[in-house]
Amino acid sequence: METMDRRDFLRLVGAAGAVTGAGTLLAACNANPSPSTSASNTTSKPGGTLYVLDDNSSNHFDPAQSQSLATTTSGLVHRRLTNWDLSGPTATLVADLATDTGKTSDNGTTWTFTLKDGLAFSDGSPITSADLKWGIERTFDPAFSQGLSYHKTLLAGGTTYTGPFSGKSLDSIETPDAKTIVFRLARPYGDWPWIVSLVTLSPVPQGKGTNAAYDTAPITSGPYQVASYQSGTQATLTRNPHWQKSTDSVRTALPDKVIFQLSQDDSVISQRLIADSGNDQSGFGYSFVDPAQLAQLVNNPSAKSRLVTSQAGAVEYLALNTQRGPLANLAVRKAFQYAVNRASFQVASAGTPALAGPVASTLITPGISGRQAYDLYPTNAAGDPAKAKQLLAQAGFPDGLSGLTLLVSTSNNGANLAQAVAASLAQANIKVTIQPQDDDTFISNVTGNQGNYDLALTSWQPDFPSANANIQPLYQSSQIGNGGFNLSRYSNDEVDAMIADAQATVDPTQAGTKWAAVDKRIMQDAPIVPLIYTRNSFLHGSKVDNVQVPDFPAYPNYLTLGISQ
Amino acid sequence: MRLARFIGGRLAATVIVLLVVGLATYAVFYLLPTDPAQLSCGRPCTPQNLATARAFMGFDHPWIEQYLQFIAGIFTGRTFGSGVTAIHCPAPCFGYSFQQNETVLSLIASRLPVTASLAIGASIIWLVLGVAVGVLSALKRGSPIDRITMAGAVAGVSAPAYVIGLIAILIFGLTLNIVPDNGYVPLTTSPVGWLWHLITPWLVLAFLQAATYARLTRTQMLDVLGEDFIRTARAKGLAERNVVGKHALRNVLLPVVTVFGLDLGSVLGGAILTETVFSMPGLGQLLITAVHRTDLPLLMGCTLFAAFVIVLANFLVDLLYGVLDPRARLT
Amino acid sequence: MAAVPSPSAPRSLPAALVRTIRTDRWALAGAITVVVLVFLAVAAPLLAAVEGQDPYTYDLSVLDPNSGLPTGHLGGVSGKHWFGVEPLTGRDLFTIVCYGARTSFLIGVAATIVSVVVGALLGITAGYLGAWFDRGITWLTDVLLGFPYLVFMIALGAIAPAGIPRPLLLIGVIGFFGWPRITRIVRSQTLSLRGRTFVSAARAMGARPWQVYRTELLPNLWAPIIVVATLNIPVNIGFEAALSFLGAGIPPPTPSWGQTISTASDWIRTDPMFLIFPGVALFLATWSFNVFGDGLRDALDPRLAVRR
Repeated sequence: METMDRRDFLRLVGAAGAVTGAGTLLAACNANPSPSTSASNTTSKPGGTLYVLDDNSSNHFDPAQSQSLATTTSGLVHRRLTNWDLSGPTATLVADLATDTGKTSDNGTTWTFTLKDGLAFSDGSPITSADLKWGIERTFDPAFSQGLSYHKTLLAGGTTYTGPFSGKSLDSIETPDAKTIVFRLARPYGDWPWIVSLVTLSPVPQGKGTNAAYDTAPITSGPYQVASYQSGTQATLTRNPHWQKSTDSVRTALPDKVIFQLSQDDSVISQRLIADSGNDQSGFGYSFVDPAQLAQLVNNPSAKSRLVTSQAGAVEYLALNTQRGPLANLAVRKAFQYAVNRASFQVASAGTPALAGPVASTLITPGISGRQAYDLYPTNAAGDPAKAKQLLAQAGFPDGLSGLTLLVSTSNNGANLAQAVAASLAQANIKVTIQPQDDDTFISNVTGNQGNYDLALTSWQPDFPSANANIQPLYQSSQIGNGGFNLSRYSNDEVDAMIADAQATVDPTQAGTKWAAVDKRIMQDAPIVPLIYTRNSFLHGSKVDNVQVPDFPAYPNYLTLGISQ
Repeated sequence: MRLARFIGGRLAATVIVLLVVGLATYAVFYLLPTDPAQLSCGRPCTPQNLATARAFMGFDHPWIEQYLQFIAGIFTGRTFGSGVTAIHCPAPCFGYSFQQNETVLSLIASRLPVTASLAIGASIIWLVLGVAVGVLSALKRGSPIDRITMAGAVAGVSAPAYVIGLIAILIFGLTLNIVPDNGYVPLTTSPVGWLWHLITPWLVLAFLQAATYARLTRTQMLDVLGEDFIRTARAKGLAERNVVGKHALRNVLLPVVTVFGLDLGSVLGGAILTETVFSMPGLGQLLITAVHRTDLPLLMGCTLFAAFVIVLANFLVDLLYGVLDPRARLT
Repeated sequence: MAAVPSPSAPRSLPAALVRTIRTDRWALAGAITVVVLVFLAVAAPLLAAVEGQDPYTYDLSVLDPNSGLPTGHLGGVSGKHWFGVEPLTGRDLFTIVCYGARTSFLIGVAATIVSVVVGALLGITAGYLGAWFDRGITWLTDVLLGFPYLVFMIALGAIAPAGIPRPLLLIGVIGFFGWPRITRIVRSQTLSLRGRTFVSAARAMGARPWQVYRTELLPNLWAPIIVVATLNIPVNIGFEAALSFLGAGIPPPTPSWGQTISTASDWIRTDPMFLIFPGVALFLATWSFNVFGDGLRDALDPRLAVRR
């Protein structure tokens, strides 16, 4: 769930396909004058072929190997116990395969789900609790280490379990009957119902999925099955005859076919969608529209009307390494809050603030339930270098700071964004050296144990819509190094305790309040500078209907797209 | 017999060069401060999960051992993991890309047509154009044609491929709008589309390369025309066409063929830039993606493949020498 | 391309230079262009002061608030911004091009010095000593020339610890992969010299290898080495630009032509002038060294001269 390279990680993992959304959201957003074609659900009837223009060369369809969001590619083929409803202002949890969103008998350690009636796989066999158990057990096999792993440490005994293929089963998943599944966790965890919405916890028919070929020809539970898969070229999804609309409130499954055109070049995708001819009219771009392409749309009303921009999105932030030199000093970190020019950052990221996204001040992002808006360090978007200098002087650095290193990943325009940050810090006498790195080099450095950097510019998109997923991976002290994403190397016992408490809270409203308190408490220590809530823009063809890009996740919702006939 | 020994010797040398290139590649990329298993460690990544991934992919051994496993895999195939979920990579196994879930060989095979289309088409144009211009220039030495073509040639030699490529896109693709500005269409999908998308990259590459050949041909031609046997041929009253066509050109072609072989071999390196500019999904892009994502197996496969093509080209050039120049000794 | 002056017609270098400039109009044009570009590079701070801009400061006021593109024509060319400004940042393109020239020349020339020193030493030694040393060096050059070295340059950039200054690293890497080309040429020149009477005579008279080196070989090899070096500079400038183009060069915000061209390639549809200025500068830099080097070679070896 790092958003660090939101785009890239999604691409890499072949998770999301991108549908470009046109949408309602956009209409709401004055920035983006796209009169929403989209809202018109009325024209959407079943039928047609949806094309996904994808710059990935491969796509994982094995749930154990996928990192796809619940509402993108994987959602078309795999159902889970729960899923996300993105129609409201914040994402909510809804039942998918289960009859409800889960019950706990002991305040969050034991969770019980019951399956709906009439569920069947694409091979016609019924979906039972044993298939769910098998699907989850499989993910523990060493061959599938790349899938989402939240459940692997949460399920009791999960840390030592190595998968079902050697004949062992995971005892903390119980299936008292074909319709009931019980999870016993290692500790109370209020967000478990969110965890079971992740693709890795999809059902796989018991005994199936034993070889690598399952990745391109899985047995599916969703409305589509993988009819053909030509690596690097195309993946074709056709209807799963055994999926019943009556059991599924999440997916509209309007198109008869979904075709992923793989290995497409980003700029080629944009030009094709702008041209809007032939099959491309029923297509959408998987990846974000970049600033140069956005500028191209300014004088093209047709294409502009087919651009959908989310209203918010992942928080882009500057992590301040709290264990390094002057940055260990809270007063210095506060100076950074005022030094940064968010206006130039917005322009550098999308040409205009309206497309870049609003200025950020909180850790929990819009679209997540429980978020409370606040700003501990109010200033205008252009920043206040004078105040920053003054704070630095008070902290004992009248001549400013120099020799700080700023790590950034070169993916997603990172080097240019870092330049905007560095240029604005320079106005406050803070001199930094930018070190642009390939994405995985960057990740290795920032998540490694050494922590040899002062600043890091990145962003974070949670894997599931809970404040927990926004905060815990980034600010709990256990997430420093060892692959963890606490880039500020921020360690505060009080915060750790607050996080543990909030995680163990089952009632969502109560938990939300607790997370909002954690959010504010952390920002009092100023371990990061929140920059913007990144808006993502997507282009789509003129025949694609109901393209919606919610605040979370700021990707089109594939599950409800239609093709106008 | 002599030929067989020559070929045998060259093959042995070739294999050694490839082994050394592979070894260097492995060593260099192994030293990268990146863990190739990192991208296969699902979120949230735990040290334990990372170790599992590393062991599964075979990255938990010392690098020299990994390299030997890689070499062995070419002959015996490889199996990653164990039990029913193991991944098999049949011989000849040039590695398995865990990021792309595909054997390296099939990845290369899927991208090769793009690069081959680009390279073969462009090389035919540049060879014919370059040699023709060079010969003409040499024969008309000092004439306006000579001056203009040589001035054009020095410009071609100087120009960076991506700058000329971008300017060509700007002029022909965007301003005049007569050719597509980027992309690639497979020959099997649409022969016309294939040709259409390749015209600009071909011409750009050909312009840059032809310049080299024109200069080389001209220089060699002037050299040869000054030699005794040409003077003798002329003195014997042979027609100028014969002198140039039969005697001179034959000698000129030798160095041209040498350079051509080497150029064609190194086309993959050049393809990185050309394919980037023209947004073509070829080997060059595959390679650059592998570098940026530390996809070590894919990187090894591509590098070895590139080195193999270069070495093979060298080898063929040496063989051709024997055909074109009977005096050349096979040593 | 590697046609190299034959040592049969060695001429003194200054004489050749003067002759080249006086008789060869193209070489003269090349020389003038080199001088102008070097002036841009050396006087970059001065020129920036004259223009009243610098390559680092962001200025959102010169951008169109709807798109982030420069306002005005030709990418925002004006009396204030002679080459216009960069989209999304409003930084001044003229100063970026001037400072970019510094990067190009510094790395291009320094890498050439590395290649030439290493390449010439190895080439002369291999050619002179022969035997196993020669075979070893020849083999090594073959191997290195067989490398897809662009990939290696990118990888080496990623491996190197952050402590090593990037310019130094680039100079080292580009220089390292450049020496085999020099070695090949110098070696063959040395081989042909070695067979000549004056060298054999010196050896027969009991001169030490080092003496032969210094008094007999080097003076006769200067000319070809200088020509090769001149023709190597544009190659290395091209490498630096290509690496920067691929994102593996000097880190921003230090201006570099390749980096600017790479950014500009995204904007080719909406702001073509952003590409034209650095693109033309890069082309002129490589072109000028090439024509000048050609002229020099022709002057040193008139047999091959392209008469213009």
